[in-house]
Amino acid sequence: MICKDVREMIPLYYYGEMESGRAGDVRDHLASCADCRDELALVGKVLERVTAPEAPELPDKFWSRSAADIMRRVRKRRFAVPLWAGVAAAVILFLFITMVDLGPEPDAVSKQILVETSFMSDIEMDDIEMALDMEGIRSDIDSLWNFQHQVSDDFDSEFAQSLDTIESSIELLFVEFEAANPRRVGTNGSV
Amino acid sequence: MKRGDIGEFEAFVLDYQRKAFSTAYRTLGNVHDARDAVQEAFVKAFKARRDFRGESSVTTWFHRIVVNAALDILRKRPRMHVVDEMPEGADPSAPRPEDGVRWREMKEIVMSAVNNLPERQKDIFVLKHFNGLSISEISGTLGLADGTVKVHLSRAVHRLKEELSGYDL
Repeated sequence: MICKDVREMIPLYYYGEMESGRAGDVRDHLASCADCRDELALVGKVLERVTAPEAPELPDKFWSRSAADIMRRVRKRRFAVPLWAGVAAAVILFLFITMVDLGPEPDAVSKQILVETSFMSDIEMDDIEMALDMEGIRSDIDSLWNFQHQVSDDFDSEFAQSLDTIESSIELLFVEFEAANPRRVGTNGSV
Repeated sequence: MKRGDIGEFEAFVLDYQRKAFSTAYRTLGNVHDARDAVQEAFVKAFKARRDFRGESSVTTWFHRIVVNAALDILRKRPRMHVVDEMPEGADPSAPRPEDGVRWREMKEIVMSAVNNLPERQKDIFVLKHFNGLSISEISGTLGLADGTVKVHLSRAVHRLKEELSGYDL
């Protein structure tokens, strides 16, 4: 075996992915070739530096929310809501808010309508998150959560479920934000 | 998992979501994308449950779905964000004695090199190096011949070596 062939095979040799006979040939060559041993050492050094991201510890609430979101999507697939129904639901929701004056600020309501429509029309979470711009999200959260609880009390319906999804989405943004800015976020979540 | 039984599927979600998340996170490097991949994988698994023939274990079958869901996201969002894997208590701006460069800077350089691999090489390298799949598992997951996987893996490693060996590792 010549050096060129051995160097080609070093990655597979490193991972133990060579057939035993070929691996033996490489091993024999390495025993007698300092340059190829250096090459193997260099590959090993580089690959040791390329470490897999390790998932952070996440709270139990994250997992229960995640499972709930998955099951909601699974159930939604079985009973998909057409776009027109989503828009109609959003309009009805808007009228309901306006008439009974449950409290959220107009801006929050507008955003609420936007994300509600997105959700009901089966647009993915990303788009909902894009709708909630990071600049104003914190001020909207209380309104959204309070609003959710008010609506949840009155309606055991798809509305409440979709608001729950929004809450989960906001919560995820918090988790991400805290993970990305560990030094900027206090234990009580304050920035 | 019985076909069509949503209750059993929910139990399956509760049993497997953490493992699936861990797999997706190793591929994608951030909570948001990993969560998306896991959700997508479960929805796909639910849709495909009738196609499951029992030729492999449910775990193996589902793992493959998770890996593919993660790779789909990796291809759409090529930047791998590494924001939360710094050792606890480490100062991101402080050079470690054993490093020639700052920890985070080096991390960025390494991840950038992985991101810059051609798509097929990156998929295979991530599955091998980050997820610990064997060549045969990778070829099964991606529908490629073993030889093809080996060639791409070798090229990926050589390319990373070329790109990173100039740094003070």
